[in-house]
Amino acid sequence: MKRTFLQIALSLALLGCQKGQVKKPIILNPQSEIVVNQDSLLFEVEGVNWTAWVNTPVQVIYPQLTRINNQITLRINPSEGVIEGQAFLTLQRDENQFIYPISLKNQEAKGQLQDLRSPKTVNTDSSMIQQQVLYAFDHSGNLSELEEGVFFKENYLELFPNAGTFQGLTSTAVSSFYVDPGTVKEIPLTYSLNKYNQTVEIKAGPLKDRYNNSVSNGTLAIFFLEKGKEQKRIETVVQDSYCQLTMPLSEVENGSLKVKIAQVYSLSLIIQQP
Amino acid sequence: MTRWIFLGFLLIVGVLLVSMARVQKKNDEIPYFLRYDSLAANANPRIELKVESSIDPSEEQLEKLVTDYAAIWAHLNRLFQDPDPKPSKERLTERFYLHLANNYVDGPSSSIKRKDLSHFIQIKTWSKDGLSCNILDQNAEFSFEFPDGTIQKTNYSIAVSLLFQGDNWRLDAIRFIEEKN
Repeated sequence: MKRTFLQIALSLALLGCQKGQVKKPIILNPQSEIVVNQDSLLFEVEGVNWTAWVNTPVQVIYPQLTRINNQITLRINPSEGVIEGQAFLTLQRDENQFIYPISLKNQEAKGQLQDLRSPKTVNTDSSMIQQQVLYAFDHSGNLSELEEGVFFKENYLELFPNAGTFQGLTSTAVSSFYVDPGTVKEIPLTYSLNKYNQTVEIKAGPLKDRYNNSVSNGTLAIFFLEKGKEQKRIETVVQDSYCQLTMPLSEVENGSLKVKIAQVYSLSLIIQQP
Repeated sequence: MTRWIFLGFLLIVGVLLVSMARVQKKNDEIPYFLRYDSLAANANPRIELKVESSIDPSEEQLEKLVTDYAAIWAHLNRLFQDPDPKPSKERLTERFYLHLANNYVDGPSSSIKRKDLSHFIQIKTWSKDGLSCNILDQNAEFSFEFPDGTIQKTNYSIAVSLLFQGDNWRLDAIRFIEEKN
């Protein structure tokens, strides 16, 4: 009798130590889609110390949880919205977890278009065709449709041959592209005498490409000077559509001069005193 | 007297050096090129690939894309469980990383595990410079392992936009288009 009493007492003590099975929370406002930062989910629960998290398609986040009596309100309010799609909400109390599949959506927000150009720099000597890749996304990084069922677009654009820096459809730095001037079309060559200093100023320019864009600053120009049996080669660079050179008159008088830029030569010029 | 002034000066210098050393932050971050990405190394989903873009990427470029795509999903699967985006910084563009970083709140890891089993990707656009790629993952198969041991397999079609930055492809934007069951 004593032994049976002890066994019963022990069984009761063991049962008392065991944590009770927690009843699954009942969702009071089931929704097919939850708009974050807007909708709330209500659950009827038993007991306290509930915690919750949401596995969004990309990142686990923690909803705001408020409890009044036996009802908890869950509000999913990430500061940057979420990647939309199927998610799992987990409610936990002690060791018990209850999982609810949910569908998440962001509040309507203005999307942003991405306009990527390739190649970024086009030279007027080469093809003026440029590839344009378009896609759009919302403030959380969800791709948005450009047309129904279309997320990406690709166009081939023929650019105007005007040199400069331009911005694509989105007017953002990422969409910027550049048209570089091409090779000089012709090299006009002139000179002027400075009688006081007895020098000659030789000037090549204005240097333009075939679309009338000024040749890039820093383009190499080579002056070839031939006087009698003496030949000289002098290198300089284009600056503001011109390249120039000042030489002592004695070194160039009656000499022949020409300039080369890339594969283009100027006409030869004989330098003479007037 | 001079000796005491000199010792006092040495003491001040010593205190100053010690306090400067304490203020200096220790930078434990290993440079990117020395880091071992164990998630990427262990990612081995089946990836089928079809090129539909007007520009044909080279074999080498496709190989790199497949490796990096698997690595991106390995990191997204980790983020599905653990909210800290920092270990996945190199697999996301700055803009996408910022979204996750701004949403990040330290908390317990989730008990649901996700694994990508296979992908069927169609390359829709490939930029001439090889720095942008847009793909449709027509059949991404995932398995979800729940804490009670049950496993659920789900297939999605997903649109993904990638940019090649630094040494690898990075996720710039994503859309889970539909769930296929």
